[in-house]
Amino acid sequence: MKVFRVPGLLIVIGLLVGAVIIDRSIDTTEVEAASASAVVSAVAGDDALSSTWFCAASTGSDGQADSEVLLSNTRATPAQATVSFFAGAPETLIDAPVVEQAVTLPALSIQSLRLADFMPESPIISVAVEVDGGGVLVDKISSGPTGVARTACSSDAATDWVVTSGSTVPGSELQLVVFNPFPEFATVDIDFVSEVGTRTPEDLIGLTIPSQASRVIDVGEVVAASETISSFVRARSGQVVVEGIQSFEGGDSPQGLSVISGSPDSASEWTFAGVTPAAGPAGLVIVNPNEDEILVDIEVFPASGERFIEPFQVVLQGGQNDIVTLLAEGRLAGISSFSLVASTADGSRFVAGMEQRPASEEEEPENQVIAVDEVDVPNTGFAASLGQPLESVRLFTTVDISEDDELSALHVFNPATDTFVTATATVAVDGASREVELEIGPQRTVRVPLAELGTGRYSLRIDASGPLVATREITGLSSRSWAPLLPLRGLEE
Amino acid sequence: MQSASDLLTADETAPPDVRIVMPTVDPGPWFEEVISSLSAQNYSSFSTTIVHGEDDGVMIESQVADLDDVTLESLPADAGFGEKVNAIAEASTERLLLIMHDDVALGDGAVSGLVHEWVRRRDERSVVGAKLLDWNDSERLMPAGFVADRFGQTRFSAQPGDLDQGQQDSGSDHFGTSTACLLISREFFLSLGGFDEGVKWHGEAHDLALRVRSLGGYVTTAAGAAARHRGAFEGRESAPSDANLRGRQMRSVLSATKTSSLPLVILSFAVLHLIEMAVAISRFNFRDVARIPRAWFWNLSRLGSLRSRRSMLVNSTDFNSDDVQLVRQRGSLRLSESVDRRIAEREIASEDGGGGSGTLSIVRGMGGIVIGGLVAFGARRLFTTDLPRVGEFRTIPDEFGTLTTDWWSGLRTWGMGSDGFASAGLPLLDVAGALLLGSASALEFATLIAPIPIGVIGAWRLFARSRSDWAPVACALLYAASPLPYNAISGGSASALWLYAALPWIFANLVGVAQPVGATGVMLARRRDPGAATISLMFILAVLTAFNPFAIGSLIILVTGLLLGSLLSGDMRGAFPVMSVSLLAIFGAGVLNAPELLSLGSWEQFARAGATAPTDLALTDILTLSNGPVGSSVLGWAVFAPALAPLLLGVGQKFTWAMRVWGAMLLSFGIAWLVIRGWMPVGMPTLEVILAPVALGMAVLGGLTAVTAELDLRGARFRVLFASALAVIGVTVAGIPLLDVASDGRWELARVDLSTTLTSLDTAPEDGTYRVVWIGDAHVLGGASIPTENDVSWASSLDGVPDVRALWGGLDTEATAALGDVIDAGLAGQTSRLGQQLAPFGVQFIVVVDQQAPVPEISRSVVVSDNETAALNGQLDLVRDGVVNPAVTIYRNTAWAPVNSAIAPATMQSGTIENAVPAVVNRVDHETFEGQTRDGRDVFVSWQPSAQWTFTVDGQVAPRIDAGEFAMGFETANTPSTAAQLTYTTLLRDRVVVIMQALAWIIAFMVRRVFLSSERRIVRGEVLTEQGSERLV
Repeated sequence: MKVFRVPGLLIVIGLLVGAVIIDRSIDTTEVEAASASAVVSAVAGDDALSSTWFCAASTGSDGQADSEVLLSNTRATPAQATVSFFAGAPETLIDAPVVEQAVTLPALSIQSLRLADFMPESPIISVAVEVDGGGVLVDKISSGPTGVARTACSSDAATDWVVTSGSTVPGSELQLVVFNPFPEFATVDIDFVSEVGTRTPEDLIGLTIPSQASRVIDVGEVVAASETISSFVRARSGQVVVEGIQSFEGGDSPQGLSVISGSPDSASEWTFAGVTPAAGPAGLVIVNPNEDEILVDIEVFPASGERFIEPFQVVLQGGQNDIVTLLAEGRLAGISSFSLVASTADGSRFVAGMEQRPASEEEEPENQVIAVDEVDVPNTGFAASLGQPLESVRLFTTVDISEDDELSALHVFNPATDTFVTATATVAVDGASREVELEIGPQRTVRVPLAELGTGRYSLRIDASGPLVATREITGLSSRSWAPLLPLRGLEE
Repeated sequence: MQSASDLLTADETAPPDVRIVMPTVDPGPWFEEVISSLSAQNYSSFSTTIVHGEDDGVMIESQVADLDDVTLESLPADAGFGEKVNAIAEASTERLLLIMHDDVALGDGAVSGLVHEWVRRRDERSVVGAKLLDWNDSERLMPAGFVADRFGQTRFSAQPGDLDQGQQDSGSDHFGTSTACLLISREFFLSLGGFDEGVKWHGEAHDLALRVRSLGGYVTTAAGAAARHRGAFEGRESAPSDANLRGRQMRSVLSATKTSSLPLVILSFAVLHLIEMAVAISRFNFRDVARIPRAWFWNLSRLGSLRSRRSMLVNSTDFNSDDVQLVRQRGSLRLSESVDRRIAEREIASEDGGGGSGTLSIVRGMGGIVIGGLVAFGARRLFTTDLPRVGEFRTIPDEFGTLTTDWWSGLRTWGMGSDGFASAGLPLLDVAGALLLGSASALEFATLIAPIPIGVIGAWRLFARSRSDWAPVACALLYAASPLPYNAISGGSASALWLYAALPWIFANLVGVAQPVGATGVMLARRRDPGAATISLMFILAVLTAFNPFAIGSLIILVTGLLLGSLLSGDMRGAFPVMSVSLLAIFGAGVLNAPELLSLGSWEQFARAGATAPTDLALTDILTLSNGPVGSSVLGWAVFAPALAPLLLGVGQKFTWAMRVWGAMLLSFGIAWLVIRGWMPVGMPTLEVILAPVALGMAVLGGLTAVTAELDLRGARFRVLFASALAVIGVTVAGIPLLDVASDGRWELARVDLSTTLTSLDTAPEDGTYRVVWIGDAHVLGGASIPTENDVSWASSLDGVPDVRALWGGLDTEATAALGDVIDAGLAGQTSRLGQQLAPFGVQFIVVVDQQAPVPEISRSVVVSDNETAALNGQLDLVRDGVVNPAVTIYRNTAWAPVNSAIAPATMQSGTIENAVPAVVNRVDHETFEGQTRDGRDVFVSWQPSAQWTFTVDGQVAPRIDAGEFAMGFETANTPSTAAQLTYTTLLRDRVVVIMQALAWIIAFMVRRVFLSSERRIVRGEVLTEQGSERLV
């Protein structure tokens, strides 16, 4: 070989080999993660041309409860909204009437609409709210003889839904509401997973959901009595919104009412801020919608960092659900409040929810009132909610508490391992707002009694220096609700 | 008929009168010598008639002043040789005619010699020609006697410059003789019908000889009558071309064929011409491609004169065409000459290297057959089925001229419409369609099927003149076996396919100017004249740019890579010519396409750029060109064996060129790598476009390996074995994809397209004009698109599925940008009433394209992300529509309003269009809508506002009203309408620009012809000189 060719030859071969080595060392998982962001309910930003909210499971005056929707305008300018009311029934409703109501939302205000006023004949009323921009969130409150349910509506429709919790044991009733707000038919398949196995009712395969209407499925009629049922709804065509209505009659069994939001997507990490075990046996419901087995790591962070709790793992087969009793084995002994993170190390996606159901009077009469952080918490009512798969620096919720409510609280969790986060909670009502400053230590949870922020109905916005997860817990005399605050769309992490 | 001898017997002392007939064409200085030779003749009874053009009379008159008995006749300039001779023959009374060219100087006693020979033959039907000698050298011959085949093609028995050794003295072997100087009985000449006046300037000699032979006459040469012939008739300024020689030959043969043989003769011509057409196409001899059908049309348009001339001959009692067959050559002289010429060129090319011509023929012949066979076999199913429209392979309008009309207009319909210029590609497609007899489907077929053979032939020609037998075979095989063109076809990337076709020809021009002096025949292409190379490169680049503006970018990448390679090789010779020729070509191509290039709104349109997001491809996929369905990231490495061999073993220019090619390949690899990793700040064309230089580079390196192994390693047995093994392994393994593709029979093109799935986009015309918004990956969409804020792009079309015109974009106007903003908002989930937002833009359908062909067909596929799909699925006023296939999702906008809507005056400026009804619904041509308006409603027009639009109602111009920044409004509410028209008027300035563009193309084409003809003459001269030298030796 002659000398003159050596440099060129080395450069060619060196560049090729070097590039291949570098290319193989590049981690491409970022690419996959970027293309798989979860879809969760979120408040649209100010730059949105319009935003929409869907409230599937609301009941009219003939239903289990009387419902109203709360439209909270968090922006400093008025908003125009069109609220559409859709009928729902167990059977297929063809060309069901749709009632529309235009609403003007003054700046920093909350507007309430009672559903029965617009569609008095329908036991189930679904609602779609279209707003001329962002900055508005929609909640619904259902009040009935068995309790009061407070749930944020969904900002998106989707093809796949998981309702993590539910029960059909005697004394309880679980209804699944599948809402199709779109102008074309949807076709869905529904199946259920419980401790007795998987159930795929034939009638619920290829179930038609008429356009602009809802269908109600009484889960107790198709699934044997089960303590914990997870429902899967998959749309073959079209998109839907799914929620569950869970009620307990009381008497020999617990009493309570809860509207359980469905999860439109799975995620590899779910966070629950401010769980209060004293309020009732807390159960973490994990649902694996995949075909493969998953290994879920569960980390518990005491609110004040009282002590380190060893993380533990749960193995879950594909297509199965499991309820993890957090108080079992005394692992949370002495912990009054904590936040919890459930995640998979390999990025496998799952759905996680929390449920707290009160013990019946016969079981634990002496535990009617438990002291937690110097506040007495009644163990009444049934609360179930999804966790929050995303952290955000801006969070929203709507609060509705009475003046003497000392139990309802805001739980703010800082998941960062070594960073303090300062946050400003802005309370807005009747066109005015005021701010409260918060500081949350790393992996700590701050509990703020809602009564300290304000009473009655107001909207709450948290702006933080770092990503947070927060929960609104409202505890009434006979009911409880527990729901994560909603992030601002586009600022989720 | 009375014999000549009989006549002579009556008065032997009186020699027959001779009339010399000499038609002239721009006689030059030599003419004086011609006249002098006539004066010097000793024949006692001859007179001369010179038939000249209208402008030459004075000059000729002065030159013939000393010649006795001369007459000057003037005939119109367009009169042919035969027509001039016929006119004189009919008017004269002499017994014999001596027909002469104006560049023939008779030797002493030539006239006497001719007459003597004629008399000696003792037959009125004798035709006697003079022995023609070289004008400058009387010891060498000029061609006179010729043989002919059954198709009228002739071949002279002697070559110019042959030494006179008496080979022309006996005319017995000749079919005919030149009309430069021949003697014939005037009466016999007239009985033949004279010269065929339909055969002007070229082919008269054969026509005359054929008719003479058909009537039992014969042609001979008088050894005692010599004449010096200057020749070079074609070099004269006003000399007519021989472009229609085939037509004239066909006419001569048909006019001398008996009726019973006519069908067979016509069939023979058809078969011959089909073969010649195939040969011409394979050699890119487009002049012959055009001439062959022209021969038929020319004869069909002259059937009347052909019939009368034929009847004049075949009705003669002496007519006997069977005897003529006996003296004709078998087969086709033209085909056999073509083969001979190719072999001669090969011999010259191989002279330096010592490659045996026999081996040369076998290796190359077999190689060509195998490669051609595989390529043809691989496309076999494309010949028998309808071609699907995938990606950039789009429908071409059936109506011929439609594309040129669009080009002529200043209205661009792309996006929300704009004023601007169209691509020159539109009229070029029409021109190509005209060559294919106006068949749009044939043109679609050609655009898909032709590029691979064109590219492979180009690759072959890169080494056709090399001394290696195997080099062209290896280069063409590796180029044909590259996965790139098949991935381009599968992925609907016409841009990449056409670039693949053009690159070897572009590369040949660059190599030609970079070739060191004296390197002719050593490797690659012959050294080219820089001017010819520049104009040739510019023309190729201009045509490519007309269809894909990024072709300019591709050339820049190629040249930059070659220069980097030169730097690495330490040999910068040729760098300056390559750079300067490339820059000039880019400048020229840019000028020819300037109107369109200046009308492009963005880089994305220039490059047909895709997303900047990273992909899941690995670098190894890029290096092995297996970024599509064809290719293997394992077997693909095999091609690196022959690709690296020239770096290891090549010497001199071979090493230099290997390094240069590697430079281009490394640059392409690098850019492709940046693209797949998402590191490019801007979108780029498809990977096939970026990697096209790699496909060519691998092929060239394969060819260089063959050259090195055959020529440089003689005697070095181990190294020969090593290089040969590398080459054989590489070429063989790399050829496997070609076998794989060939087995498919479709070049991996999908079997069906989305037309069935998209039928729901067709709506009733009375519903009004509508837009379709196409959303997907830019390369999946194909053609010009606009990127969104996500990783997808959008494009729009009018009234359904777009045709080939969607390949080109336009200015990104305010209205188009506004439509893009709305689409962005919809995809980002910022609205739940996207349909309502799109209504002012006339959008009735949104089509999300995940794949170019319906599932399960294999085609380019980039699935639009779940977030964006969910955002569209979540719209309250969009309904899914159409045939369900995962490849596309069609949404019908329930809040749609037609592009031309009649709306209530109060809603005109509200930004939301409600209760709209169609207006002026008939789109009668590119620039005009007709129809009606509605009482009490104004007209809202969803086009980018432009002063060029006019709305007339019953002939009265409707006043404009404000409809916002993105649309136009016309006040028609108070005007009861019976006939309304919305018309776009192209600016005169724009018309002038496109006229200038057309002129520029024509001038460039003509300049190219001049340069290439000049270069071809030089090359031919060199070849002939080399042939001549070889013979002399």
